[in-house]
Amino acid sequence: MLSQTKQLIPVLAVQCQQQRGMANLKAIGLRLKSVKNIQKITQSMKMVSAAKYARAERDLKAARPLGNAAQSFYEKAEVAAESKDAPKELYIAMTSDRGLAGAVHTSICKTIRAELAEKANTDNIKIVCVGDKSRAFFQRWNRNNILMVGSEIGRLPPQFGDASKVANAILTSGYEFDSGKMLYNKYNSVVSYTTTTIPIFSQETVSNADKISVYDSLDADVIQSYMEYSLASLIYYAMKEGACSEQSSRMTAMDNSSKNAGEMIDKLTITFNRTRQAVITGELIEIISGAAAL
Amino acid sequence: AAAPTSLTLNFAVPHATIHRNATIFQANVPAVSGDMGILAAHVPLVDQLKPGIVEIVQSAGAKAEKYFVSGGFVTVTPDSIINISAVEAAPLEHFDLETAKRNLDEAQRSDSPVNRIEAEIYQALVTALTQSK
Repeated sequence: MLSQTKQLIPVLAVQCQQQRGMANLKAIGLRLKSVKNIQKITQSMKMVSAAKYARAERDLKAARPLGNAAQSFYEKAEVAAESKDAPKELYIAMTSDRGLAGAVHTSICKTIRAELAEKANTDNIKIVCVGDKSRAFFQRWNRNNILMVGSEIGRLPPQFGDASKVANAILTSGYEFDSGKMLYNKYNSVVSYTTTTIPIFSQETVSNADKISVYDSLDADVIQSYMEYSLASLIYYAMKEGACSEQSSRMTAMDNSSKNAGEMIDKLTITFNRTRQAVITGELIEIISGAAAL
Repeated sequence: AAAPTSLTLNFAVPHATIHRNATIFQANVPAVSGDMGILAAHVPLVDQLKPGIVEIVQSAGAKAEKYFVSGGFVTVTPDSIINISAVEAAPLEHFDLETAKRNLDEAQRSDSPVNRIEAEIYQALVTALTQSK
């Protein structure tokens, strides 16, 4: 039985070489088809992002005055975070659920992680993850610091109702923070955004601010109501900026993907044609040498 | 420093900006502590708005633009910039009295917190519309 297989091997080897050419052709053909599909998908994702981006930019233009007004109150009143021994801090990471958007989510998460790494004690720091992407990131590195997670972000354009839900959840969470930071991506232009911080203050800090006494008839009730309202306004503003940055970044990323896929398709097509011609040439040679042997 | 002589208005709702850096003469706002008129160099303040009419007078003696706001906040800064931020606002002419009355009746039928807030807003709207006729 073993002697029979020894005779079969040379015949099989020749057939294998033919099939190797064919197998290579099939493999390249499969790869070519899949890269073409990828290019179609990334193209369509780019179109969808471009449409969403146009709308997000319009909404952002309308929302910017609201955000600026809310921020300017704290700036004019010169509210400064007090330096306590072990201040309870809160980080709000404005990301979303959907990826393939370039570096939008990781830039926010990495900034927060770097700040946490600098601190000696991270027990007093909590993170609010708005969007599943930040949750996935922090579950790996800082699982104990996650206070709450917001999901279903990024599918639809953010509304003021969503922002007030987030603000409400933060204020009723029972975590009394002394100072907070909200990180979001501020939209600059189609190709650029900046990861920015908005400071969030506690009621005590605002009441003790320098220039707060300038304001007439400002009692604790009004301050509290105003802080709740301005927290919702600032979260809304950050959501709008973040959505615009995310859509523009996704548009750019998908555009680059399509271009890269196009280059791969060109290269693969050339290889495919060469392989095809080599297979045909090989078959011709066999036929001719077979005919010559007769 | 000399007292600022003009009032700069920023009037915004989440989904739109009604006025941005507009120089006006006077603004009348429905604050929770009472309706107040704000002119240039007003004392700085922060106040919550109840549902009602915000009137903007562009220049002395001009006709007031009336907007119905559902609630929000008004802040006047030391350098005479007034920021009105409302959750919803629209010109009073855009509202229909009959529809407002119907919605008010419906809202008053049950006593859940949402309905009570709705009733408060519709009541203010009906009052504003009837007064402006």
